[in-house]
Amino acid sequence: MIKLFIADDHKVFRDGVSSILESAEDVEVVGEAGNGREATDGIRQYKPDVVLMDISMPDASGIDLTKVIRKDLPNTKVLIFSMHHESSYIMKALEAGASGYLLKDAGSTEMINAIRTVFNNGTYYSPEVSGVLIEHLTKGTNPKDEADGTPLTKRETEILKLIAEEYSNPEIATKLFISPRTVDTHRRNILAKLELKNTASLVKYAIKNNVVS
Amino acid sequence: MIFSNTETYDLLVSLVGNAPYGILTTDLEGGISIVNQQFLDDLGLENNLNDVLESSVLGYLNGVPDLMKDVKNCLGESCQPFDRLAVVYNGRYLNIRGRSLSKGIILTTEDVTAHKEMENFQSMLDGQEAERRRLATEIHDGVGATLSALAMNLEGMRANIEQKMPEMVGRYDNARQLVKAVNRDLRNISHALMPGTLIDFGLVQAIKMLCKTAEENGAFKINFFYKGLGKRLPQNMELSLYRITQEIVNNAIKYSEAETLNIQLIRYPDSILLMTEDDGIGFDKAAMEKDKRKGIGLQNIKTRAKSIGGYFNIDTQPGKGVSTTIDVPLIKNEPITQ
Repeated sequence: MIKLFIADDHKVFRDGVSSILESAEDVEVVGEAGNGREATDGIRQYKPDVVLMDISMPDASGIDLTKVIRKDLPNTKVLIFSMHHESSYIMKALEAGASGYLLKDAGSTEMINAIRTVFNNGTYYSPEVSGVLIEHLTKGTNPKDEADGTPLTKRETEILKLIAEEYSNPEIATKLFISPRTVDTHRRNILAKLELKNTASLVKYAIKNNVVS
Repeated sequence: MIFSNTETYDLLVSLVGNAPYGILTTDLEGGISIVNQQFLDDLGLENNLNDVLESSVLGYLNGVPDLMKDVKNCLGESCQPFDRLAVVYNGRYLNIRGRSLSKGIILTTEDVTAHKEMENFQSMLDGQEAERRRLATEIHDGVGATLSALAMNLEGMRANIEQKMPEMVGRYDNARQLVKAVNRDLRNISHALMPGTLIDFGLVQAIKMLCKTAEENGAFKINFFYKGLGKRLPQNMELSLYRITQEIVNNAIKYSEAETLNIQLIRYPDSILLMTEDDGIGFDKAAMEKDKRKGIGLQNIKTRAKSIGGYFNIDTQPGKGVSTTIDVPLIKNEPITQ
């Protein structure tokens, strides 16, 4: 028998889940809570096998609760059940120790499957969540990676070339039909991106990287 | 004439004449001893400067009984100072102050219209954002939660329908798909109103989501570059920069016909810089600024940027793409929330 606890601030939703789970003979709802405090108390009291956890509750984040539960009750698995499909939420939930992430438009079959999977030490992600995860892992969203990896834009390369050819800001502005202030902003950005200090090092960079001959 | 030394008097006149405030002083009876043009302009008085001198200040305040009363009290034995802040004269917002001097009083006026208008705009924005947040929460928590329960209930019926009414399975599946679609639409509306990502994870993550959604809609390729934003910015700055980015992306989707949009967000020690560039068809900037209706998006961006102390610049010409810069100075010791 799987002992299940539901933490979600919407009664209509908790009732819906409970009534569906009546048909699942191996799942018993041992308790439910509508806010973070009740959830913490209830979970400590019932020591459920699986917690069905909402993320956005009025007094607490389900992600923070997940961390607490995983630390206090290592045998209790957390299955996030949320409307949020953005990668930030998903990643944070997994970092917090959630064993699965179910989107709220999942059907009853999917939900029961997920509960069983998580109970049996597996992990479960809704198909859409898996998609987000894969994209996240393949793209890499570490800020530093992007800063290091992103080359200059076409416009920036153009401006770098003109700088290296010793054109002044106003001259570059006229050539490119933009304002001198924008040229200056570009120059500043290029320096920041390349982590260079001054125009001389920009010129050096331009020559080294064949922006100018 | 209460001034014995001409040099001192000249200095005083030039000081008062060039001060960035309206200034008027009187003797103990209210006779005007010094006044500058700014004061007359602020109160909408069309009299000549020299004609006004030595006449009674009260004679010019007939149209404004409240101010008259304050000035009388200030002149009276109690020497009551007064501050009338952000009062409206001639459609301008003025701060009018009165103080007693050793032998008379001094009145000053300061035009705070620009400041007041910005304040009004800011509170309008704040109200709008609060309303959006309320709506988003209501959608997310109310209708959204019920819909999720509905979806789940529907799903539970499938096996039964399959067994007892196999001819209904097609329509059932269709209904289930529709519920999913409504749920998705609702989620998107709620997110556009107030992105949870922005509140919970900050500007960079929120702009990433914005880019992802725009790209999914097949608009164009977006490169988002950011640097130095490990720490969160003050909430109103994040929200304003997000709304500005949203407006720029939406405009680009609607009008630019671009293939690529570059968005750069860089935090310098003393400022935040948001820069966007597209390679689309551009537009005639002068004409756009004249056209009140079409130019409103641009005006919104400008005012939003101004509301967080930022500077907004746009460069574009037909056929040359559009590039925008929003530069927001950071006050040094401004607390950065984690």
